[in-house]
Amino acid sequence: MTIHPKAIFRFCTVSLLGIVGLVFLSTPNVHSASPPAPVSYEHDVKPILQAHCYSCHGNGARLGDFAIDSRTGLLTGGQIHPVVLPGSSAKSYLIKMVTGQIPGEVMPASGPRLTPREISVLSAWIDQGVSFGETHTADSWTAPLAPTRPKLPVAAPGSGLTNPIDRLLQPYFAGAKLTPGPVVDDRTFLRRVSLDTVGLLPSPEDIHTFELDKRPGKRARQAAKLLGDNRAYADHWLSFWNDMLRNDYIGTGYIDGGRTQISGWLYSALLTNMPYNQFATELINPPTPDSAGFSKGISWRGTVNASQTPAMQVSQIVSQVFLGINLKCASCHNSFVSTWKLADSYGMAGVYSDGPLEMVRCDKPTGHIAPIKFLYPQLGSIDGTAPRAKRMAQLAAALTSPSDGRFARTFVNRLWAKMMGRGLVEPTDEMDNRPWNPALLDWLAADFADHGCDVKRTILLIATSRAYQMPSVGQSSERASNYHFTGPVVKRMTAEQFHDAVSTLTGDWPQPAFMPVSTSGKVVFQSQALLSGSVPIDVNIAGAHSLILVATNGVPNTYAYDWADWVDPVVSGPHGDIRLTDLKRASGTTGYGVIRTDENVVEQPIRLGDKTFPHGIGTHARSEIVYLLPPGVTRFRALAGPDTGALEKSAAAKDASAASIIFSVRTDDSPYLYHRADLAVSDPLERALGRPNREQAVTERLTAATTLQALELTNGATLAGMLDKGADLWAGSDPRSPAQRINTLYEMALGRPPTPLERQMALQQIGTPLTKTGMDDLLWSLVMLPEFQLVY
Amino acid sequence: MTDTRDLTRRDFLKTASAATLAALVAGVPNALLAATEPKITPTADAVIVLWMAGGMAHTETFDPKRYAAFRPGMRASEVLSTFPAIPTAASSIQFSQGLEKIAGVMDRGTLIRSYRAGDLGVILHSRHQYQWHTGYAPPQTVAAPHIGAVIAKTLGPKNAAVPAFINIGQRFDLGEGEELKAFTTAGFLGSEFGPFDLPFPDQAVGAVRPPAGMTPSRFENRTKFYNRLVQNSPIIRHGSDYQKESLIRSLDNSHRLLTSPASKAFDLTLEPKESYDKYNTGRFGQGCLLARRLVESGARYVEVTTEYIPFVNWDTHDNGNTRMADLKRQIDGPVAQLILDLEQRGMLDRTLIVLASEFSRDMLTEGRPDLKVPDQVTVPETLTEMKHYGMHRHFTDAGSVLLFGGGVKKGFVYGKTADERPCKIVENPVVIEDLHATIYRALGISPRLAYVIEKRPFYVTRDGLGKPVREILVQG
Repeated sequence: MTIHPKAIFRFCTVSLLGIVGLVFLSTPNVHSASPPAPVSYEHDVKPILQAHCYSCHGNGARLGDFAIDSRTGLLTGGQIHPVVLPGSSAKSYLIKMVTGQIPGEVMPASGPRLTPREISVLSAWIDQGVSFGETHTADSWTAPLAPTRPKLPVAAPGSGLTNPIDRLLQPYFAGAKLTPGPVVDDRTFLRRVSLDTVGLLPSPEDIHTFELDKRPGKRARQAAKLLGDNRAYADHWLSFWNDMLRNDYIGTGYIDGGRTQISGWLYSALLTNMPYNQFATELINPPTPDSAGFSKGISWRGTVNASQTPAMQVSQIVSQVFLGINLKCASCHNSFVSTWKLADSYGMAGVYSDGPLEMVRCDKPTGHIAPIKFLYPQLGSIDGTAPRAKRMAQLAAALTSPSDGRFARTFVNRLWAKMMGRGLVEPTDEMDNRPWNPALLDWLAADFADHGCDVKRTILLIATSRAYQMPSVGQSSERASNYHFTGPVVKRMTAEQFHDAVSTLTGDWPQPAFMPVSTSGKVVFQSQALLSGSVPIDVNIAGAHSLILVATNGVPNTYAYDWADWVDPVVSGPHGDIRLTDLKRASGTTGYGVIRTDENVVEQPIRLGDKTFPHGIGTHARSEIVYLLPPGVTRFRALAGPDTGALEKSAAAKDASAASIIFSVRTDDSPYLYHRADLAVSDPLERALGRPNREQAVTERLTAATTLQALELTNGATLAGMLDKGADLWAGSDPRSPAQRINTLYEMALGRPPTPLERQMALQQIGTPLTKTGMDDLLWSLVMLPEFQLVY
Repeated sequence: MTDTRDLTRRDFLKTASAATLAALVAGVPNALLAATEPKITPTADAVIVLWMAGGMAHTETFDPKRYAAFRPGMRASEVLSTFPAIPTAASSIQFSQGLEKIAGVMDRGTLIRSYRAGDLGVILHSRHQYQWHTGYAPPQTVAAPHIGAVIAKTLGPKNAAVPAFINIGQRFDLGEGEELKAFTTAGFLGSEFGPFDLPFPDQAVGAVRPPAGMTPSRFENRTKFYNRLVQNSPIIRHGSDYQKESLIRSLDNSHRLLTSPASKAFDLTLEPKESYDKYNTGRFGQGCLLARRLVESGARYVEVTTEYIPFVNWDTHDNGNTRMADLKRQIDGPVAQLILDLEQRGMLDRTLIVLASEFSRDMLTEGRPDLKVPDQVTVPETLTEMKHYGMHRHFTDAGSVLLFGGGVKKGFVYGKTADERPCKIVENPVVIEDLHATIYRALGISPRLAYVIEKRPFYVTRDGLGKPVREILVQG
């Protein structure tokens, strides 16, 4: 990384946001800093010069024809002397002058002399080499912008390597004198790849089938099968994107309409594996309101600092998410740690504004207008005079241009980091840093771009590499330096993965805040949007395994009484009619309240039109209710419509839209019977485990366990409640013996049977006869195990 | 079952103090401070912030102005205070009626009458609260940490068995809950330094006890069983990994906390009845008692809030006078008792108590006189009903902050407001970064201390600009 020399001096006095030679303190004893510590120009030296020297030699004053308020001034001085000589304070003119070594020429000529401490700071700074910027040595690496297509090395004879990643890693391993060992066993692989691609633990059946499969290529097939489960994939990657695009179901900004969700658009983009370039384009230049929330940003009520206007937020987040560039510093002043300038941030923000913006430096308007432009004008120009929509299209085109290698590199690096626990470039938001394997990064990026920015394809490529299948490697700390790739890094389950894994064991899944539109199965009935009245349903469902009753909003409305009734729902079969409400509901969601039987969603009698009905289901759109069907049923009948009570309410309320509901019925052989944690509002357990407030774009979560987390895990009500339900399930009536249950539990939780010792300990723990509390404590202990919580 | 492995592990854990755990997890962010920074000698080891959530009118509490009793038909502009003034133990200071007990201890503390809230445009309580607690106005480019988290990160816990940052009395599932969450957080400092939330003081002990319904023996048995499972886990037993180690150690820490004698501090039922009754004006009063017990046990930063709920508590959009009388009743006894108890225990000198609010209120002015913002409360020109009688608009040009102990002067008043409307600051304004700098100074923390996030310094006071109000500190 390079530092723009001028940038150092164009800092602003009210906001010293330059990181310079600073004292890093590793202990709470923050005041123990003493001389050998590196001296900072900004913090230590400059204030001294400012106080004693600038009145004559700075801020425009050039007495004796020199000024020392700049690097040039200090290093070249006036006509006679350099002011400072790096490395030698004794020979430096500055020190000679301030210590009075030159008779009659002691400086400052007026005002108090420098204190011994001040002189020692200046001397130390000169002796330390006159650093104006960061204390660490400059990295000569310059990240390329254009894509490159490194040649794939030939696989070493007999190596059997086919995956391009492994071929690219051959020289790396050879150079590091590393010989990759054997790949992990099937169970480890299956657990790892399941958690990494769909976020779920593999089921005991999956493990069994996978182990029994003796055909070659089964790991690649398994990875492809997992990625082919579109809904599970979308459910898992939703968190990753919600974090980055700061999309959430509740949060700051919504209170005043200062924020808009993109959940529906995002979920459907994941479900269909939307090409990444199109994905970015639709975020930057939304074709419909569904993806507009991203570039709308987050607005709180009241006035906002110039660097945090919605347009500036877009400028920052687009560059962070899609390019691994941090413009946050350069939103207030020219960056001290990169070459980005205020004009760059404002230039891009201008795209989203009414026109070019006046730059505001550290809260002070500069009077200068930043021409509208993309960070890399060579990738595409933006016509500052064009209407906003056109400018947004031009920005999207420039960003996703095939010449923009950085766009693809940034993203494949994120995928690599998700799968491997650590990026090729770290941190993943700082794509100017040197990758540990530039050829691999470049190849992956080019391959990704050359294949239609197909996200799943690159994930599959990584998942099927030998590199991914190597034994995992533990790290010594969260940000361990001196990284060498020797296998995937051990990861901790995310908050959502942990929540889902516990739900898998306990059967206790959360109520979703966002309900994706199901696309699997077959629609056997669909009504018009009903504003009143009712519609009879009588459809053939012969052979179906499940029946799904769906009520959706007919018109997009923010606030309406969408009480949906299913009156007298029955399925008929060989033994006559069965009331649906007599069957056990496999799952159900409702947009408001809870699903009611024989009354509407607000616990009043069900009314359609002017009739009242004693039997039926009362819910609120959106709602999906799933029943698993007994064998042999052939037809489903019901009467459906918006509840009359809702129509009366809507009519009476000033601010509510009219009720409008579409009723549909689907059958599905493998219906989704639960909703995953990332579709629900964050709960205290997830918050403790690191699911972030999505106020800022979060691209990496800290994952080390903390005491506050452990407290939540040990006595928090959320987990306790889930485990209680789980204990009911596992301690309830069950033909299986306690030992069999323990076997299954271990298979589900840890992907392996218990060792004889573990089985014996677990049996002892659950008690004879088996007790619910014993089972509860066993469940807790299992989910606390590092083996459970880590993805290894 | 052999115990040798257990023993080894226990020995290992004994050496793994909370500090090493923190070091293990807290790779980032680093603290930084210029080498020339002078060392500050702390005058306080702990802080209690008493938060008057919703906007506490200075003219109705600690800065009384001309009193005008209610009479139907009076003009709104006549009303500066709806309570008469009362004397305090500090001869130069008067309070508003209803605060007699705090008045009785005013000779122990300092009153700042010139707190100037931020200019954040249209009023949103939670936004001002965000600014008060982080020193920065939202939105921010990085997740700004709460002052409690900064203190927890910088100084660490005083007693490893008591969380360093404890937040009493606030629920987050009510109005503006999301906004409250946005600043009640350690932000980029990492969740290790985040708040330990205790919304209900009388249920606080539940947070530091074995799970509800679990006997101590079952809890011990579960812990023991878990430890044996860990010891005998055939997978990833070998090799060092911070994830694994931090998980095991954090659970061990949590177990120690849940079985520590310090957890008794959280249990209000252990307080003698006579003492409990002095505090028990409701949740806030109980919170003050809990704060005292926690500070006695070694808490570092405790905040007790009257709880922010839109239009409730100090957010008096109507019935200001009536509601104010009740609010004063809630805070008067417990706050005074807290001061007296700490003094009696010899702890007041090392405990800084700060009573504050996000801004003040006035009957007529919304925002500040020279920077008015849209009114959010309708105030009739002529008051016909009691419900109109009170400070219902949000005023940002003055506010009172009360400080006790921890090195602040006694019986001292700083700053002054006008005696006629607008009752704004006329002397020595104090802004949030200066108030924070004052708190930090008492704790020995420089206002220019910064933590590095995304390669840039994030200062503990806004841009490192906070200046302690030296005039109110004994050591200056």
